[in-house]
Amino acid sequence: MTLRIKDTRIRSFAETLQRQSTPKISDANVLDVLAAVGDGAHASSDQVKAALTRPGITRKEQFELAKKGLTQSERADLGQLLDKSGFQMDAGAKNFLEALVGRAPLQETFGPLTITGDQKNGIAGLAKPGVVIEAINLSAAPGGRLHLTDTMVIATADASGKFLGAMPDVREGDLIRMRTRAADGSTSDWLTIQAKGIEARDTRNAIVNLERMDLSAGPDGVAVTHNTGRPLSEPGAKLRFTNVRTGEKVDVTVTDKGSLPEGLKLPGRAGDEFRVAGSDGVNNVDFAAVAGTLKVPGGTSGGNRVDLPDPKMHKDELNADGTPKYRLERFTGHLFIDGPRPDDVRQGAIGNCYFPAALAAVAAARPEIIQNMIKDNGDGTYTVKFNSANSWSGGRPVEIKVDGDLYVRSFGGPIYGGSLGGSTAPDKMELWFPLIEKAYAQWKGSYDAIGNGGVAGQVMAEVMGKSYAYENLSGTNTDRLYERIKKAADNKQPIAAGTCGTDQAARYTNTGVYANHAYSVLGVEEENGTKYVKLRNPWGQSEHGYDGKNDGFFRIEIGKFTELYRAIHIVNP
Amino acid sequence: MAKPPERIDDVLPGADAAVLAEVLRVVTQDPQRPSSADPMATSTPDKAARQVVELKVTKVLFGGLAQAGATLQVVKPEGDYALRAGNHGPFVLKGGAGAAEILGRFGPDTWPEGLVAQAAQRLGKA
Repeated sequence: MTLRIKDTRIRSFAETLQRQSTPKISDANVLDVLAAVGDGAHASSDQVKAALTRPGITRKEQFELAKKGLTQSERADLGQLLDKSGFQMDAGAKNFLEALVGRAPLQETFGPLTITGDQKNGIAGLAKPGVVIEAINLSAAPGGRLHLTDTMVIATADASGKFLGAMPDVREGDLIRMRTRAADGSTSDWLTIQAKGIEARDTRNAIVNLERMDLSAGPDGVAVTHNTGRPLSEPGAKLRFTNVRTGEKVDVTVTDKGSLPEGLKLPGRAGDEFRVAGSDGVNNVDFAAVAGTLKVPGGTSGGNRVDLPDPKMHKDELNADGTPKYRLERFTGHLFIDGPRPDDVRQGAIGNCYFPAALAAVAAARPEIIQNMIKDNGDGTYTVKFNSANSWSGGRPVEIKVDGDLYVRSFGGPIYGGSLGGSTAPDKMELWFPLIEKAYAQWKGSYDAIGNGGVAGQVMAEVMGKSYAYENLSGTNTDRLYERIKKAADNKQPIAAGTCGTDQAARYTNTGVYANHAYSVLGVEEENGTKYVKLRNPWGQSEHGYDGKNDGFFRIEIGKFTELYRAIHIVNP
Repeated sequence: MAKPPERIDDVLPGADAAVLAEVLRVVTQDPQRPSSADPMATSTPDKAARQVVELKVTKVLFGGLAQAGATLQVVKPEGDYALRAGNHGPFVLKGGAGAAEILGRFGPDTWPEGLVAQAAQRLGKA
């Protein structure tokens, strides 16, 4: 029979079936038709398909999803499937199509087990009279010792087929998997629902059982395996693996069996640590709460062996014979602990405020640029990418390779740029900023070459590979400036600002702003009609005004900003 | 260019006194050297000229250089900051009366009073 189906997805579905020996629209593949019907301006076919296959979704909800996108043309296409295709059809599938074209009401129950209503007072439904209902809470199981087949009997269907069962510790949003068992021991297929009506909202996140995962390093990455038959998380949950050393993230979906996708590999190597976070799609969707950390066995020796020449210290830190006053120490911590952030950056005892101010500005606006500009080579060396950019050109890429040696004070911690908010111990300090600074010194010739003032916009350009704009603030209109900064910040363009030179230093004393100094500009804000510029001092301390925290972050009224700051530098889009 | 303030524990051992004070006047100021830095620079290697200023002491944190209520002439060395009348805060000083020099990269803005007092106690100065 030739079908004249207009919708391309429904036509493709029908043509695929026609090539089969016994074409049949089943309860399973009818979801492809529903997805084709349900798409539209509000959602793609793939998005509808994902929603249709959500654990616990009811037939009525599936029907409503399809109906939302149903057009007259698609209604006619479905009529052809029903009337002219000659396809066999499961009863449930056929009822979907008939209900969509308006020929029959939707039957909400099919099969051996149907759940009715919500679960406020237990799990109620319909089944063959006399069968027992077995169930397991998939959301709770990963935290216990149950296999997914370790069900409990929650009810027996009465003579009319109705049952009402109870399970302990069922929370809103939990996934409950059930089946029937007849007197002869035969069982039905599994049915999974999402518990509803128990609490105002779903507050139990997916459990992630880290003890059930093993990591092993190989030539093509780190293999993650599930080491038991018991589930490690609930089906459909999203897990995020973050390599603490590189910051790389991998998201996976837990399988229907509460396991990991087969052949899962993570970018990394022996000795790496991975933070693992889970989300059930409702809770912890940003993966902020971490379930724990897993370490890849091995990798404790030989990983930091390469020793490269180091840039010379600033002239202030050299002895008369040119030897450094400070010793070098190998740092082996992670490049990123929680991704690049402006508050990671701490200027060291060197006159290069323009550099940390620029890097913190980029970290605030475009952290992924920082994340991608430095790479751990795995042998104790790091490759840092800059660009030979300036105010009018993005320039060409420049790669600088450095090792993890940093000049340190006698009592510990780097003398030049370091990291705030964590340990400064050689094996723990977050390394991205001090190593990028070291690479910059290497590129420009020495720490002395970068440690006597400079241009923040130039550094941002060299990091971003884009030109930058310089705007003198003398006599500037504050409303225009506010909009200029707001637009740039909204557009994720890094911004820095510089104060006036030391010839005007007396204007600065007691203001909390320092002369001849560079700052990161983090945006603007308005409160009670007063406009402010948000800034950060690259020292990570010493602020204008008192906000209760001496962390370098502060705001300044925009009129005062134009009094105390000479210019802003903005990376061009 | 501005470097961060020094660690107070690095500076205080060499100090002879610390006072809370206000600048009454700038007695003398050396000529300011002209800048030769890039005009687009956000920071430069320039230094603010040396000054001699008169302080009115309001509180002594440690040391016997001056009593509360006294006035004192001190040297602000060439560096990253400059003073003018009305500036105030904790001044950490080195040297005797008439020749004392202000320590700390930013003078009275280098460390808050509480930090100076705590460090002085910790280091046995107060």
